[in-house]
Amino acid sequence: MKTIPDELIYRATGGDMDAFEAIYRLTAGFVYAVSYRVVYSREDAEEVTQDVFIKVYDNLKKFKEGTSFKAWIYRIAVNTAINYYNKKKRDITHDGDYEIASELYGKGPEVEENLQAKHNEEKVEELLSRLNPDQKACMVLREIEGMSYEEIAKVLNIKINTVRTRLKRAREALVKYVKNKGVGYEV
Amino acid sequence: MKCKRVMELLLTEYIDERLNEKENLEVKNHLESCQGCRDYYNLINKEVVAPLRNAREVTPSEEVWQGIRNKIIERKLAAQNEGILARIKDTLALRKPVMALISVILILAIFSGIKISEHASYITVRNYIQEKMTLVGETENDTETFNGNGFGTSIEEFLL
Repeated sequence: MKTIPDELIYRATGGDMDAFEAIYRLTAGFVYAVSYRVVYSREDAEEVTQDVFIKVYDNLKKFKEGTSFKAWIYRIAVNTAINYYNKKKRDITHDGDYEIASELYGKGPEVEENLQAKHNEEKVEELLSRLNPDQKACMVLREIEGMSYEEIAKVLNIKINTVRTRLKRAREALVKYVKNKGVGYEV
Repeated sequence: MKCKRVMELLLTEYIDERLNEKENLEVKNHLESCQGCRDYYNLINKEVVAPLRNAREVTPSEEVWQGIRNKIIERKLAAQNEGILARIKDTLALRKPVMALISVILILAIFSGIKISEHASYITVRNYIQEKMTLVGETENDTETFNGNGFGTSIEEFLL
């Protein structure tokens, strides 16, 4: 995780919108990606991203100096996305793959590649939907965002051993799921 | 290393490259000699880990930042308006005791005014009565002077 310069945080805390925009540009990709993987809808992920940055702006003064600002934002993002998902669980329409697929089609001659990407997106959604929100957050941070155990522990404010346990259980559950679906190997 | 231990490491440290060189080699050697663990590893890798690691990168649209910016500005304006209202309220709250004091003073002033006016009227009436009484007293004293033949004034003498 790259760090955000203190000077930028200081300026943003004082109400400097340019500084806050710079912070947004540095972190929005992650916030949106995590939100999207948790709620699986572009519209909802954008709403979550907005909520996250409004919360960040409102709480800038509460941020403790000396701790990781980025980890703080990411923690807010994960918690907001999970809460949003839990609240809207019943109403969420899983149209994420459709949205991505519609973007992938008609993007030049690499139709085959696009189809593979679409297929992979369907798989990602299917796999993540089998996990509980805590496991899902851990898997997204580890597999999609490529964070280390230490970074995940920092973001989720949990012990490294808990990160390990959640990843293990999530992978175990997914292996069981794909095996039951008939994919794979006899163990 | 036993299969159970290897499978646990395959789900965690091995797949996440967190093993030291010695442990890593042990797992690798086990995988080479154990078909079951090798299949398990391939399943995890191909069907669970690879799809997630190859997930498409998603980015928010520009409208998201515009929405955040507008919301913050709206909230700032609302906070400013609230601030103005709060200041007016504070000012009014500060003036409340002052207004109450002024009201009390006014009531007292009006009440005192009535009293003063009543007192003034009383003095006027008392003076009037005293004046009349004095006049009556003088008239009584003058009865000896008026002896039926008049007062002896020049006009009386002229008329008579």
